[in-house]
Amino acid sequence: MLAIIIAVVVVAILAIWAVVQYNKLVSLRNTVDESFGQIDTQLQRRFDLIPNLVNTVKEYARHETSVFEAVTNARAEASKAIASHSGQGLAKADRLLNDATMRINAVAEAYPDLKASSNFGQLQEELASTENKVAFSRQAYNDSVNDYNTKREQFPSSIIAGIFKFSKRDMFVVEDESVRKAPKVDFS
Amino acid sequence: MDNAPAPIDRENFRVRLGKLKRGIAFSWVVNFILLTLTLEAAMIFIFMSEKLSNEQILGFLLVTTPLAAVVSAIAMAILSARSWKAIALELGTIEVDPRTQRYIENIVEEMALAAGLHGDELPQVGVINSREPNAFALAGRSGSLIGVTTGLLEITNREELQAVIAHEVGHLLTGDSKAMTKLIAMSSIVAVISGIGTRVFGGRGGDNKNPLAIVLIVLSLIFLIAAPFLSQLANASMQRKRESQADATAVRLTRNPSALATALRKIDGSYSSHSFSKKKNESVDQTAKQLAFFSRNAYRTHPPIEERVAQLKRMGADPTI
Repeated sequence: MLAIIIAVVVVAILAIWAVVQYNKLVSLRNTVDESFGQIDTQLQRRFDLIPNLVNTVKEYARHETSVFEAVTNARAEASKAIASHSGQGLAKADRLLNDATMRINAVAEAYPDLKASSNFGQLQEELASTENKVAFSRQAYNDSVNDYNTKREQFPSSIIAGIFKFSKRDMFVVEDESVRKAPKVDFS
Repeated sequence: MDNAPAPIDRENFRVRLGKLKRGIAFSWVVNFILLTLTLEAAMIFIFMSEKLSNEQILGFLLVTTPLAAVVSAIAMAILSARSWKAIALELGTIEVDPRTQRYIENIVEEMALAAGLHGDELPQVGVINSREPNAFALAGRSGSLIGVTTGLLEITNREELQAVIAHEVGHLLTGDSKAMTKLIAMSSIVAVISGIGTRVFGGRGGDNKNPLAIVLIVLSLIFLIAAPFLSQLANASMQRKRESQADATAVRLTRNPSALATALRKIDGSYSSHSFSKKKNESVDQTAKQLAFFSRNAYRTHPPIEERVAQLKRMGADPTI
């Protein structure tokens, strides 16, 4: 009789432990998915800002048509890359949008009136901040992937991860050095 | 952002976070007991007659103690819903031009993203009109608010403001803002009850005094007088740990320990070069000393600047700062 009670208690404890570990893994995995969605959102926001920037710059630098064309093309390509919703696609979009804004900013350098306009200043703050937001959501995503993968690989939660097939997630890797360095905004 | 990422020991980080959370839970319990005892003491002091027999005293305590516990539980429940807004209102935020507003909101959003907070968890932003450079975070069940002073906006550049805001997001992240906001509100309740309790005295007199009753009444009075200080003490014990934990979180979020270190230096320098007016509405310290990012004269609640900067240097900040 005693042996049965002990066995039941042990099984019950193991079952509770398994449920707790399972839920923990699920919640970490959800965090990973959520933070991936944030990168997506922020890139989209950056994508939406580019036409505003182009229009503002156009007012002052009408004849720089080749740049505007290149930027429009890059934006179209970035749109496709974002639509793929894959890590590689997002990294590509990130790179394209970054190049596009850098090109426009290079044009703006030659037009002091444009640089002095408050509209342009405000856009610059928005762009710089969205760029930071992309970088920070990428960082948060990588942190969450790290937490999830660690939990997944660590003993004894790895047993549960194995049984229920919690697959490994990949970090968001930025290959291009220019993307890794978010431009610095100094308002001092 | 272009600094080399500081080495971050996430395991160690989590262990310290766990300790902090237990510490907060502890001061929470201490405050609950304190509030219950204060109510109890107030009832004894106001209502209990010294002529009661021992059995009657026991009966009195059996009725009033659960009553005090229930009242403080209700007070805590109300506080968790309302206290942050009440404190925010008392501090008084001002309207700033849309561009500055947007600038602060952007930085807060950036740090919230880095911390993995979004949607409803995104803190509101408030600007306090004060020349003293400072910042604070308030939180409750229905939301949170990060406040910065105009003085802080004046002296910091974008990176430094980001670091200070990351520190405040750190408070929100560990949930200690929520606890502290309530604890501060509770301390004020304890203070109010003790104030009322010591002023209202049920007139007593006559013979047949029970010594036990007199001892209880005297002890109650002593407790009522001491309660506000005890409550402050329970909160203060948490403060230093909270601050260094939030500094560590700020570094984890910004990956930029130097910016926080220079911000601390600038704020410290600004306090040394100005003598800030002590008029009530100009001093953030008056109301929310315990919540503030920086508190010059409260080494009891905040680790000294040197200690904070040294910790940041260990986390990779520029050693020349």
